[in-house]
Amino acid sequence: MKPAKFIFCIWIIMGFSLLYVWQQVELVKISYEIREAKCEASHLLDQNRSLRYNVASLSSPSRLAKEKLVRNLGLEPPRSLELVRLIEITPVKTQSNIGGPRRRRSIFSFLFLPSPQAEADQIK
Amino acid sequence: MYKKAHKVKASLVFLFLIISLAILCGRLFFIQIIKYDPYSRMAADQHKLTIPIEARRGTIYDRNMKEVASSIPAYSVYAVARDLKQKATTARLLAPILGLDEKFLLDRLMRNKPFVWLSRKVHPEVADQIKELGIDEIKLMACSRRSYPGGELMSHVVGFCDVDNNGLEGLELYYDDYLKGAGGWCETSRDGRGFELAAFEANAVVARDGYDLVLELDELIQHMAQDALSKAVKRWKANYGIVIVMDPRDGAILAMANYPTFDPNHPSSHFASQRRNRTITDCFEPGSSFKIVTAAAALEEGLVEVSDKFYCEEGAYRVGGRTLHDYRPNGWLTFSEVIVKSSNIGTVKVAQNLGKEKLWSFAGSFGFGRVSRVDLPGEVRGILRQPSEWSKTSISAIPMGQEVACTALQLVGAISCIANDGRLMKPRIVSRIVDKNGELVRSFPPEVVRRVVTKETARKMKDILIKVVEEGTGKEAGIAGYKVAGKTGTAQKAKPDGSGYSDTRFVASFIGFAPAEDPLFSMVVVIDEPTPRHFGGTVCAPVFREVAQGILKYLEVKD
Repeated sequence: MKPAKFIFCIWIIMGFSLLYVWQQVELVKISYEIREAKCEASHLLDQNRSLRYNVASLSSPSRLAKEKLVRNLGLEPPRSLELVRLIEITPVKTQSNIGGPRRRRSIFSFLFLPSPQAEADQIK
Repeated sequence: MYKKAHKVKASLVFLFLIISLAILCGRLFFIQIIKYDPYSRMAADQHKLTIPIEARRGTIYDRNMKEVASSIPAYSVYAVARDLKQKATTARLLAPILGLDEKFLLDRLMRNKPFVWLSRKVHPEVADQIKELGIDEIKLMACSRRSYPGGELMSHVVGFCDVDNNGLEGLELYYDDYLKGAGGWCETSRDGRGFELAAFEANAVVARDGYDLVLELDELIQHMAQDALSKAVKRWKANYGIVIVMDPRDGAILAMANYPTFDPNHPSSHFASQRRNRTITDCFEPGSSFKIVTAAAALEEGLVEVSDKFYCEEGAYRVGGRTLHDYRPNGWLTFSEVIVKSSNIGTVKVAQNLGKEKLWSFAGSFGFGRVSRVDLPGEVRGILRQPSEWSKTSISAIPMGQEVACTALQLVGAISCIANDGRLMKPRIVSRIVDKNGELVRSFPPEVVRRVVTKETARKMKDILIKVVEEGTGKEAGIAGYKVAGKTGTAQKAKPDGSGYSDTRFVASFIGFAPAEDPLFSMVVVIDEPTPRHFGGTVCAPVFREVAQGILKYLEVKD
């Protein structure tokens, strides 16, 4: 085989090899794009389901009847600054406050109040 | 000399290369041929990824395609507890987000396991808050949650699912095979980080989403029935109440209301007695409502005419060793008046002419003592004893609806039979099953069970039942501008110790249909143990009127 022919063959093989590698890289890239598109589609479908559920829930006759009743009573839903959410705080039980929170007692309270133990029993 | 040495060197190098190549080929032969199976399996395990595809549970719609039950996105939260370092801090952070007790969470996190559930099916907003915490060992799993936008409305019919979306009650259970669908999977490759490479997908079994159910129930009619019923049960301090609305022409159930009711979004926070669909699971003695069977049977057999007269013994009649009473004493009454005034004595005299065999046969034909085959789980057949099992007093009790027990569905079926010119229809909850593209999978066409009485007998019965509402015990059911037909019922309840009937505990009922000339709907109202009043005409007839008025307006029926 002539050297020129040999080099040409090598170039052809290399070209095809690079084409194959480029193709594989593209496939991986497309895979990532498909994955992202799938996530997006799934997210949008989920959102659609949630919104449809909300529509069904908000237009449910029992809810509308309650709404009508509330409006007939002259009540209105609160505006943004009129709503205060109270966070329920679970008291942490420590050795010192078992049997209820400690209260400040007056000097003569022992004459009128039962002992702390009795108080705890009452609460129980 | 130089040339020779050069040649030897070259030969050695060539030999070395040949040997190396031979070793390499040998190694390749060993790997590729001899050890092919284990290595190819190992490679496949590293590169291949099998992804399960969850089937979406079908949606349930009412007859106007309004969603009644649907699956919405949710997340399940789990922890890789074994790898988690700061367990106490994590429990403290998660407790307010998940709405769970901190001690409970800490207890879970202290387990030395790679997988511990913390909370199932939480809202996506809660999941977002957990993501923001950025704790690697707390993980989220996408899933779906069964939700019921109408809440308590239709809860007894639709039923509910468990945490894994398997139907447990109602239609969710009865049509579980249709609703749940079939999961699929796909086999693909993954990259070094374990991410799916979708373009290299090799095999796949496509998931089939669950089919959707389209019901015959109408959300608005259901609401009217539920609202009127709950008010009546509260007003009369009753145990429970039932309303069923049926289209007598095709057996379609338009509403099926129970009170007390429950929220299927939180089924475990209600008692089992609240979750029971009493319209098909509880039977009761229907009382005078059953007189339509006795009257229709006598007319059908040609034993009586509407104008025939019966002496009602001025309110006391001794039969089978016991004295039968009417609520108000009557003398001579026409057959029509016997039903209009709901005379027990008159009805029993008609039944004595009819005979127990015929009465039993007609009661069975009207659907008493048999399951209606409605598409709901847990239906009972009620009690209708064979004539050979009747006692001496049975012929004075069964014609007026005592010693016989039925479900509310059987009662509405019987009145619908009269409204439908004597043809008994199979009650239907589901209209059709469709796939996600709306293509029909299965339909449930109207089904005539049997012809019970002739059209002529049904017409005569309609005339009598119109009079019941116009001038008899069912006046409270009358609607101005419309002709309504109906029958009241007030049955004493049997004492729990079996020593006869109670004088203080009653089941009140009303069955009827409207418009009487061309009925569009029939209805049964049952209220258990109302106090202080207990008559069907006082307690149940107003419920019928309220619901019927609403339906006539909704269906735009002209006066």
